[in-house]
Amino acid sequence: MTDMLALSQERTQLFHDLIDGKIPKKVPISGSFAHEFAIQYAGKDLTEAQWDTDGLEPIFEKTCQDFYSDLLPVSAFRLPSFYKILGSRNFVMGSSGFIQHPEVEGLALEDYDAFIASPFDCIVERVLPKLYSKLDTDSTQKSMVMAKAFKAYTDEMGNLGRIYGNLIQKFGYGFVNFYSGFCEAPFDIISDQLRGFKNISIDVRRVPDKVEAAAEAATPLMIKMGTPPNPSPYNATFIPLHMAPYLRGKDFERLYWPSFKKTVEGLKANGMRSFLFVENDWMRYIDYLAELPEGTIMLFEYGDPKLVKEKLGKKHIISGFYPVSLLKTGTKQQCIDKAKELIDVLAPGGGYYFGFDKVIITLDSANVENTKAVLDYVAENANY
Amino acid sequence: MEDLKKMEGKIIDLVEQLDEDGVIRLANQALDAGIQPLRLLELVDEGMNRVGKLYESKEYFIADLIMAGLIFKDILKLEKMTAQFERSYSERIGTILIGTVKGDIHDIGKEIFRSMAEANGFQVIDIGVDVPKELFVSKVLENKPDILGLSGVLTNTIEAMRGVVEAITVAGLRDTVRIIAGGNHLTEDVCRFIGADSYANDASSGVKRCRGWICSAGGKGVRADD
Amino acid sequence: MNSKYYQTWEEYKAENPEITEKQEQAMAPKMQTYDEMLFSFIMFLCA
Repeated sequence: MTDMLALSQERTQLFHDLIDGKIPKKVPISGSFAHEFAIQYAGKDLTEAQWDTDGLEPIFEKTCQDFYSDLLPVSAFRLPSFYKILGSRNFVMGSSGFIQHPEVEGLALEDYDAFIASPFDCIVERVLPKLYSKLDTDSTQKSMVMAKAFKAYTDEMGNLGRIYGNLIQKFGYGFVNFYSGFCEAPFDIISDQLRGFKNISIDVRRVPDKVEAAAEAATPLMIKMGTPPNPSPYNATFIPLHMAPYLRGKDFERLYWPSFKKTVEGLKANGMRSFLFVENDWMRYIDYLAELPEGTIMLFEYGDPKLVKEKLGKKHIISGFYPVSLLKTGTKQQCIDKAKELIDVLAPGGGYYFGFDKVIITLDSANVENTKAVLDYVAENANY
Repeated sequence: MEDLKKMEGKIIDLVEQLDEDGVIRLANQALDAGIQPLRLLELVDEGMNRVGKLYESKEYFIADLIMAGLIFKDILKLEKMTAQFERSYSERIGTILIGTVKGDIHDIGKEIFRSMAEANGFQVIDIGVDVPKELFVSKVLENKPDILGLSGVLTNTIEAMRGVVEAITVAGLRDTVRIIAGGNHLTEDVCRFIGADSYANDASSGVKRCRGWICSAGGKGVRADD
Repeated sequence: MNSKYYQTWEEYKAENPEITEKQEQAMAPKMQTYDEMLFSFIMFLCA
């Protein structure tokens, strides 16, 4: 027990130093495995195991045992119980048991004005019944469904919180949580579940004024959503970025950036740094990223690590770039060489922690031996 | 006649500029002025090609391709067009069968690819999302496409795509069809791993590849050793 | 945040002026927590 506590404190120090702009004793590592991977890795059935959150602890333990990480490497983001109760149209279990989201339209074109006037009211009244079939009914039924769903949700989150605490204690992980809060860029919250990818792409051409106003109206909502009850300078609010790479620069500049920047600044004012998953390729927007508040954590999927280090390395905390697809198709040596290559570019001078370019979502997304080898290599060799 | 010629040029420009209202308005005018539906389609196709080039030169992006696909569909829905659009099979340059592989339900890339491929003269058979390999095999057997397109965005689709190629091979169909894999995360190594003939990170380059195969095969059907 | 479906403690107090200071100390944190929790849940459902 004491050994593990000491290990936790050591690892916490690595991340505190990273966040404080000091150079940690070695390159910190944050492995990222989805609960679906953990379930499959433990040899369990994905269509069954997600229903018993109590049973997830021994399942997650197997991943923790075999894959090195300084922070808790596995977490569950979406679980089926409350989605099923609500009759979710937007979060659906695929044939393999993996929850995905089909294109949905939670916000109709004619709902824009209501959203701009009061986003939360519009979400409760118009959006949720479109996304969740069991809420598309009379008010009595709706209140019963919401009661059940809310109970299921708080049960799941409570179980998970307890499990995470146990795992952190058992494996000596650092006491730093980059998923302490969660929200989206205002443009993304309007896009993903509300208008849908196709509709928003067309709205940008047909009704850009409404898109702009909607993003502005959603901004205080996102700041509030992303601020946890106990803000801490060493935790972060997770923001997965989505639509920007698919837009023209002019549209990004007018419709995506201003409200997103305000959101990150608003979170900072509330005591939270942002942890951005910079999905796809943001290299043409790199100068914008440089404008964000100092110490923003950015995990990159694609792009140019050298350029990112040069332009953002002194101000922000960088991670990512390591391709999960290489873990799938490469040899062990190629995988290790890639890690070395990235560390050589990104680590010097600090401001970097090792992480893959995306969460490893299923067992067949990556070769397990390669993954272990890379994490072990970085743990044993990556110093500043 | 001259007016019609001017209109033709303008239609192409408006498609290129993604001016949806402008295109519909002018297309209707042109149809009233006597333009042949197939000719209008050719103009829209040309506009779509220009959009594709702007995408390749990184002036246009995915959202623009979606808009272009919508304009294409708008034109096909015009009254004077619906009767005419049934291009007979022999006029199509080739057939592509596409689907998103098992484990993935993303379909936007596949839809953009479909719009662009149709605009380029292909017949496209879309068998949907989360498609198991057995269904790919039976649909290839049934439809005998020139090209099989496998779509997938999630990283677990690499294994699923490999499974499809294997199943096609085991069914003795590998030599009858070219296989292209589509997805942002694909690389040459991944393509080799999957066993596909080619891969594309976006719809535009995918359609280009398919055109290349058809043209090198003399316009009718494609053999795997081309 | 101005919404029919979210109430701050201050708004609740305004509707219930009979609440004493002593009661407020006991009630306020708990009552506010439930509004915050429901807000988080609803936002999670559309994110």
